Amino acid sequence: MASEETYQQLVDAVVEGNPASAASLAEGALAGGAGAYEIIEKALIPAMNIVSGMYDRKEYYLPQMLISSDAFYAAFEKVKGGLTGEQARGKGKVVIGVVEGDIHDIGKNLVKTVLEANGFICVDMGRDVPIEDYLDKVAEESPDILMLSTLMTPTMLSMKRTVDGLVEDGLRDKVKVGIGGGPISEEFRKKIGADFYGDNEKEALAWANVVAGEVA
Amino acid sequence: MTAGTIGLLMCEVLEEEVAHLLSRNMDISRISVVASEFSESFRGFVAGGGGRFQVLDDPDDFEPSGGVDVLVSVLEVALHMVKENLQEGVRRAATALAQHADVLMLGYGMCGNVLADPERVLGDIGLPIIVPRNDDGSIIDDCVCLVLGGTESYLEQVYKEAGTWFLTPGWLRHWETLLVKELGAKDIPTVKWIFDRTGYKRALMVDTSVGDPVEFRLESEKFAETFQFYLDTTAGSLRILERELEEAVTTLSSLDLRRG
Repeated sequence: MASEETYQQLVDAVVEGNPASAASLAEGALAGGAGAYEIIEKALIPAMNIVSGMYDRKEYYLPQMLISSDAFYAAFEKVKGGLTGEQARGKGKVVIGVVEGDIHDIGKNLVKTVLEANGFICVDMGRDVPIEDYLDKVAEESPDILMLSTLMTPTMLSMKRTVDGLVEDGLRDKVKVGIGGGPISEEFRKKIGADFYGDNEKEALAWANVVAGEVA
Repeated sequence: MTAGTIGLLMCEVLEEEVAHLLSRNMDISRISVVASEFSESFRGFVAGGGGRFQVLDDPDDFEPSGGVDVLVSVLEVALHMVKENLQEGVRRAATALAQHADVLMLGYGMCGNVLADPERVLGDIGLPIIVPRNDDGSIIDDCVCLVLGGTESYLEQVYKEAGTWFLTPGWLRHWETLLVKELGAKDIPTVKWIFDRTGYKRALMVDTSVGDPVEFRLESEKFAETFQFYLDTTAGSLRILERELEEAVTTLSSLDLRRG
């Protein structure tokens, strides 16, 4: 178990965008007996929530988001191997990615990390993923959830086409579809027939837990 | 003969394309531009295009010509970066134009969904609102999709190379402002770091045949070299803007008929 001071230092390192310090602190906390899940829950995720809030308030801009994201992943890489038990077994499988034509993945990466830290197995398709690749992966992996992300309005069409593709391939009723990203809305979710729209990683996790409960 | 006023509210980034269209449209009797720091380049392009043209210090100085007038207000680039700024800026400028116009034409797309519902943002100005649309009737996403000829053309390009930065003459004229505002970067090396980090690789010239082609090529090459992008070209199109302008004139005509 790490001290509150250590967790605060780790939060600060991520918020201030110091990858080396964040990695060192995370490693130290792990060596000191703190659990990987606890480090993620008590420091890493709260840190990124602070960063997101600062971005929304225009206190941080994209460069700071990216640097903090680097610090977050530097720390996460040090601890993720320590995820054991329920976290490693997985309470559900999620295929997750950014839609075709879009390369912006900060939000997707954050959702993926939160899901992994909370017991989901994530198959990360990356970004600019062709629609057919999503369909093939859903057919191959039989995930409980497909999570799609985009930052731009034109590529919302890629999202719609992916969902349409699931219908055409007879896969739609075999997987729950969650969508997110800057321009996404509840109205759009209904329009394309997705199951869930979330504004942030917390909402995504809450919904995934509901789905996990349904399929358990 | 149709008579009336089209109030045109537009973003600086489209200054050359809109000036080109307005100057060549035979239905338009006169173009009046509200003077501001953001309309300076646009005024130059309109003046150079020929045709009747005047500059107004204030929209309230406007008097109809008796034919089809276009009263233009130009807003600064990158307002869309803060949703409230774009909505409030558009609302304020549209309200001022509406005092003198019969139809409002927007030189904006949804711009990140900020103007996805123009009626909700501008419904109380009491004028028909004309917006640029895709062939399927959906509102155009933004200025990039507009000059490419629609969302499908945009998708064709990003499916080819997702990390594509689109270039027009207008965008290149304002790129340093746009990039610093869009990305929140303090300088060009930071912009380059962001591009590299995010995965942008290609600069794509969108050629609508508007403007000086040599200057467009030179500035595009300079931009591509600055950020180590490879440079490509694709044909653009003004047909969506043309269609929107035609719709504005047709709407004027129908209002005219109703007035008898």
